Amino acid sequence: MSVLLLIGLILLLLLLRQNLIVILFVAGAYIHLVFGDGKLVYIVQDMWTGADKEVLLSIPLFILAGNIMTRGSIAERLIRIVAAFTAPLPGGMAAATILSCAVFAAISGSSTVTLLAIGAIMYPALTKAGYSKRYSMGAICAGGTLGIIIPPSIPMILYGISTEASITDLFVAGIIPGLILTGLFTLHALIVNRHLPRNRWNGREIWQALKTGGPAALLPVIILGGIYSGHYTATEAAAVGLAYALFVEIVLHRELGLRDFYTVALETTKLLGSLFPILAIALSLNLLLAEQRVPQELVAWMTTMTNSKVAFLIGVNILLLIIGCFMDSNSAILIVAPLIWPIAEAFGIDKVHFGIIMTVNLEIGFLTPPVGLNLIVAMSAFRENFGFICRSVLPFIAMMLVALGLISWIPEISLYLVR
Amino acid sequence: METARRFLRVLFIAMGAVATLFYAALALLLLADVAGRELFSEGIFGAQRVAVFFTIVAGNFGLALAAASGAHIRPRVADHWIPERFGPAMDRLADVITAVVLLAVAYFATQLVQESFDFDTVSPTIDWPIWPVQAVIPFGYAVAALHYAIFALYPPLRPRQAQLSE
Repeated sequence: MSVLLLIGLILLLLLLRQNLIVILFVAGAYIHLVFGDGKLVYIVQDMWTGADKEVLLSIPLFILAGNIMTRGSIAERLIRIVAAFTAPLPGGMAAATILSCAVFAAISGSSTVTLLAIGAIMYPALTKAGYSKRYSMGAICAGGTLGIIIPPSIPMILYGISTEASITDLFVAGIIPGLILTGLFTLHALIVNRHLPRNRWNGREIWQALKTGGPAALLPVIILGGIYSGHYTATEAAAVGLAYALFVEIVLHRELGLRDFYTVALETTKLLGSLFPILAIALSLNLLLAEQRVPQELVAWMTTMTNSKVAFLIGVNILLLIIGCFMDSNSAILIVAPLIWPIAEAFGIDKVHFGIIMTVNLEIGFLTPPVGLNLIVAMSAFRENFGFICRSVLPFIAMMLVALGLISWIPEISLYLVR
Repeated sequence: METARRFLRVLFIAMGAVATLFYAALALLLLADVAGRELFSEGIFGAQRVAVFFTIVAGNFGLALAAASGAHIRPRVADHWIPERFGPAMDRLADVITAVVLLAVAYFATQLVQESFDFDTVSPTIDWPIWPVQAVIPFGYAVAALHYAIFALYPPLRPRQAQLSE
């Protein structure tokens, strides 16, 4: 009865147009009052405990670095390098779009940042070069999602915080799945656009591109190389990445001034202002649910339903795909991961592997209506019809589902580099 | 309404400037820490702890800035359950409820600060009292609540809400 009342309360808050902070806080307060000790100050106490963590530092730093790179000319220079190398291929510019997204994803932890940084340059360039609008739109929306599977990745950091998984391991585990998706998208780009005219190798252009974009191209090497070699942690990588991005944009490219930094910091503050309270309240709620042994109850319930790992994986993938349609990836991970992870553990699934499965599922959620974030961002950024954008990403969703199946079925894809 | 608009604008600029300063300080501190460790084999004592405090301060200032910009994540799944003609009234009611709940959070956060002050709670590693940092939580929530109260009072000041943010 009490649980039904809680569901009713959440529905009422949705009806009353409340934001996620209010919904989570009221739900937490209800659980405290009905199932807990009734002291609401403990919610804020748990919020403090959740927020007072050093691992959180990487989030503002990666977001800040991503915003700086979007505002400056790093994306443009990276694209020039990739495009110079792919020019002789049939559909070379389409391949360049996907590969540029992959390279940019390796320095930004966000899907929409990648979409906007690359899409703003490549969408008009692709359509001007004769690529179909439908393919071009699909490619930039789907390419943008690589931002959260190729490390660094904000959702992976949040998963690590929620489940106490190693963020460095999650980052390393995301590399091969990210490359598989990049490979699939690139192959598709070359096949679909094979009829388009190709250009010749241009040694001079390659040299010029490398000369002007070389320092920017070093960013992924510095960030991922440092993490992969164990030289520094995710937080330190974020700090180094930010410093290097600032150095490149201010000193080398001379594209960023003090006023730009203020604008970028303000954007970051607003973004974090919406994310951090949810993070703190969700972590507080998770502590409360753990205290009430809710995850254990869920595990017991699920194991009475099935003891097949395959059935569980299929079920959890379907559930996460549905969640991805209705929630943004960060909120979904914060709320759902601590509840589902104990069940996955009971089925013998590795914590890092499960984190990658979740991330890929929610990555697909960026492309699925009604609240696929990349669809909404692309609609407003490129002023295209929502239905057209939804249709344009369909082949990419199919490819991602194939990749998701492989990643779920074969743990080694995620764990090979970790072990 | 003009006074309220100007007040919100000044508040936005002031809080944005403070948050920017904290982010700049946070980045510099962590960089100095990494540089110190890489170059001199010794980082800055307690740098990460202090950086966490800076993040908490900037994050709570951001709460109000996000309210001012309509950047808080709001699920819209139930928006169509009520006829469209009631939309403006529902938005106004929503702002009142949000203001009340955020004010309640601010109240409970004040109790937390009071407890930390009474018990002289200090942060591990750096041994600093934590209540001055915690005090930013009730402040952030109270200012965000004030924003929603003003939006309920003067609906034209309400920003267009973002459906989602990443």
